[in-house]
Amino acid sequence: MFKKIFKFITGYVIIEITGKNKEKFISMCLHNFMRIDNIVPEGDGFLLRMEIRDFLRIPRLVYKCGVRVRIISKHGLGQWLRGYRFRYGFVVSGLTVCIFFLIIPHYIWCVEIDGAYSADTERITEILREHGVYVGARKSGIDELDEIKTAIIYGVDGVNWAWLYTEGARARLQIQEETPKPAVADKITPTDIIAACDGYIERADVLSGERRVNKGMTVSAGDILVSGKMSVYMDGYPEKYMYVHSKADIEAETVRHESGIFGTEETLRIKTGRQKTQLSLSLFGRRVDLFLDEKGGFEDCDDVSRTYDWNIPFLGYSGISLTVHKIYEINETRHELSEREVLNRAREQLEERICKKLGAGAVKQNEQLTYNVSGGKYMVELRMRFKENIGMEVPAEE
Amino acid sequence: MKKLSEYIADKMRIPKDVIMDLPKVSVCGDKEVYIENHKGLLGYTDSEISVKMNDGIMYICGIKLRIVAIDVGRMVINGNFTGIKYEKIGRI
Repeated sequence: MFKKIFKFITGYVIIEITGKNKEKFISMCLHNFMRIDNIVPEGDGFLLRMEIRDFLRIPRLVYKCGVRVRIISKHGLGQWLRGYRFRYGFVVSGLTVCIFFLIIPHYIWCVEIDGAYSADTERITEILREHGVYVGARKSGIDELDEIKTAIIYGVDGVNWAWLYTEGARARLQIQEETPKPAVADKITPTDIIAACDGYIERADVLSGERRVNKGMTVSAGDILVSGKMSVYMDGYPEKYMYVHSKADIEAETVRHESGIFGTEETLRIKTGRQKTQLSLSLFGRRVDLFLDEKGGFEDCDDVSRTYDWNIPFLGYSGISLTVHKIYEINETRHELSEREVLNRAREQLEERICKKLGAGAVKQNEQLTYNVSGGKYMVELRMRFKENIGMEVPAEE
Repeated sequence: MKKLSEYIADKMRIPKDVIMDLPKVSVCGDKEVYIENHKGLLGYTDSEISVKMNDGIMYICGIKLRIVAIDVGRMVINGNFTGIKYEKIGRI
């Protein structure tokens, strides 16, 4: 492959050798270190392939051997370019395209912000613009990355870290947001432990703080289980209090319940099998749709898009992307559910709602599903019994 | 009488084609012949190729013969071979 490319670049000719001493001519060429190959007998002579630089050296050998040489065809890069020398339009367009693709990666055509969930993206964009990062900006005009990082960390609330990556014509800002602090961050602050929900105490192991509950007691949500305010008595002295960070493991049996109204109809979105492919181009940050109707002529449809970025080797993203939209026609049908299906779906949904509220280490004991039907609707209630840790730390009461 | 180079090659167990500049011919079935240490082309048609060697002439007969690559001391011939003949005529 490389040999072929090299041959194309250096250029070669196919020549016809005729005459009496044509074999001698080939032998003399070899002894003069000329590269010849593909020798084919043709009529009275041979056809052979020879590099252009060697071809320019053969007149002396031709004279010595008394052979006749005729050029059959010329090949190579130089020959190919010579064919286009008078096509000024072609040459100018080729040069323009080359210059265009050499210049565009030196500009920013796409700015992306990754990792911003709650941070103010408008403020981030504003800061980036102040530091020379915006669509159409020259890459050389971008401020020092450390400066941008500092400006974003101190200028935007809730951002811990930021860094700007330039990948071809794309500038990507990666930010890391702050993790919200827990209600009680340290182990020194005085705290009480309260009940997160109603329950029947099964076990109460108190490591620090004043115990307010014992095994067998029933507590309601918000009741203090362990107090961080401990009284200190000494005979002859007034009563005093000391505040500690409460620590306890309170296991209780709890009952949690959720209810909801569920219908018996379900809407199914089924693909009819008809689909269309639509294209849109993203040219330097601007989207150009190559179609007129977003729904592709379908009444109801689902859209799956995939974007292909055009990356130039060694330069990166060129600022041009192609998005392929696959549009599937959808037919909506209503489906009547059986009682069993309705109750199964209700159970799944209610169980999910309950489990989101559970404490640490909860273990399900049993569950009970009750329902009644009125007006074609199901009123469903799910009661679940758990063993769980219901203690929740809150700042201690004065 | 043995030549000095042949004697050295025999005693030192060195390949003779290296030390004595003898031709070396490799044949792949009836499709390809690879010749090393040739001294030039004497005749070439699509049914017979004669190649000058150190101490003789090699005739390669066949159908649709074609020299794919040729270099100083190296030649690759393609085609359908029917015979290879080596004629020793002394130093030519």
